[in-house]
Amino acid sequence: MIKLVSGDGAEFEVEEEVAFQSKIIKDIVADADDVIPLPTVSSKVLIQVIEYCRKHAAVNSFPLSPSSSAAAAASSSSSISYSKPVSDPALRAWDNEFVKLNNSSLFDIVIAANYLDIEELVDLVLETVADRIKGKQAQEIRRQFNIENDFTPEEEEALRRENSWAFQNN
Amino acid sequence: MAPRLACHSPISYNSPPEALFEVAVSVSVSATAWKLSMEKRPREALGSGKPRGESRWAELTPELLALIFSLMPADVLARTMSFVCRSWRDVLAEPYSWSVVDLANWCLRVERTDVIDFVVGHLVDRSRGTVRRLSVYYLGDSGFAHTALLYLPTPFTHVSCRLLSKLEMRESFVTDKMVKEHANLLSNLTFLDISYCANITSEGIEALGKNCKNLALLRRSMSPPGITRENGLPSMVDEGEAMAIANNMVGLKQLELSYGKFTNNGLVAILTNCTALIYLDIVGCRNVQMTGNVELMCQKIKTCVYTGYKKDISSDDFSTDSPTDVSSDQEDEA
Repeated sequence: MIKLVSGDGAEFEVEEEVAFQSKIIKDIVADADDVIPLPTVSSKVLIQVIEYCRKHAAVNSFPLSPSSSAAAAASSSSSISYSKPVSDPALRAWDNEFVKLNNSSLFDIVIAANYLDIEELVDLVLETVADRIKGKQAQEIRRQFNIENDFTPEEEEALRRENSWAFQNN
Repeated sequence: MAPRLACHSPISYNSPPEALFEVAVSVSVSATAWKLSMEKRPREALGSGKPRGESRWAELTPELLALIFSLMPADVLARTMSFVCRSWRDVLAEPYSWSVVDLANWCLRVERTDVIDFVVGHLVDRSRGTVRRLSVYYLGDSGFAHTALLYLPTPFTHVSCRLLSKLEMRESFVTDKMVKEHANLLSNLTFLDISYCANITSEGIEALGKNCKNLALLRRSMSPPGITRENGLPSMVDEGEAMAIANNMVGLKQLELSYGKFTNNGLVAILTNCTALIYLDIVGCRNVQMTGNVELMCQKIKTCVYTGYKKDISSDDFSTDSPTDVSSDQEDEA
């Protein structure tokens, strides 16, 4: 067992294979002790990250069934797909439920996941965010993510000129 | 900070490790150094200390923001994401935000090769030659040449698209001549879609195969020869492209050749040489007879899609093919 200590002092004991979903923890344990302080991660976020790692450690410990790997091969042949092929439909469905969180929680998770080097979780959150802002206008995105419009009218005009090609035929 | 590379798996398709370092914005650190930096870090540094609902998304680290942008079409980045706030605009001004240029849907709307060539050149310039994925339609010779070899005013030099690993240019007008001139600059390609590119022939394919040794996926589907069929004329036979593939692209894992003009000879050459194939699509290849040796070889491929393979496909169009298939099946059963 490995003990993770959150920034607010809460301790979490997790199995090695769960903690090792984080590449950085895997590296640390290799050359240090089994108590790992994570001062920048709050216990609320750490609970969510551990939940994710627990699920993925359980699924990854079994090899893919032939049918699901065939499905992955089929999905990778679709025309334009930027993300990795779906590894396992059931896990994908679980992931989709996991990220049904508000934007602020997603932000905390992606920062923690990036910090802990859990690549799949970073990808999952960023894909979710990309899906949420695709097809929205800048004004809506600002509202959704509490971002302030800090442009001067002149700057906006300059941007519009520079990117004029993208406004044609739209 | 986090030991993360800016360009990891969601973008890479078998890209060699050195490619990842070319445009990486953050660096890898050893676990020990990382731990030390963590222990020194004040508690409120990240995540936990800040109040909720502030505009923290505006300050997402550039590498994470660039990863989000890499999942979006290029015209959306230019038209919308640049206008959200200054920090997003500044990240989009960086070359690494343009390592993925997806213009596919925009090209389908614009339908003008001169405009498309110009914009592709503009975005490749913005990436300063670090484009790793480019998706377009209707590309012309000048856009292709610009992508392969771009000119940087500072520091006064030409740069090749050495990182380009995925190129999709369906229905493009790029010619054999241009492909042959620039194929040596495309050596990093692993994924190539030249479907419906009528100006590329076996010569262009040969040049690409000779230079792109990492090519794992080739899409080369063509239009069905409808008029020829209705006139009752036999389909034209051309083994050239199949032979160019068989002789020069032996590392392919996935190959799509719908409505190719090759016969069993071309197909056998491909199946014999391209031993890594796990996916083959030869739907509509009228000169292929799926019998005997060819059928056995195709069955060894994990996924092989061909006309008549799926029983629900109407067999009327392919009636000339079926008698052989049926009789051979019956012989097998007997």
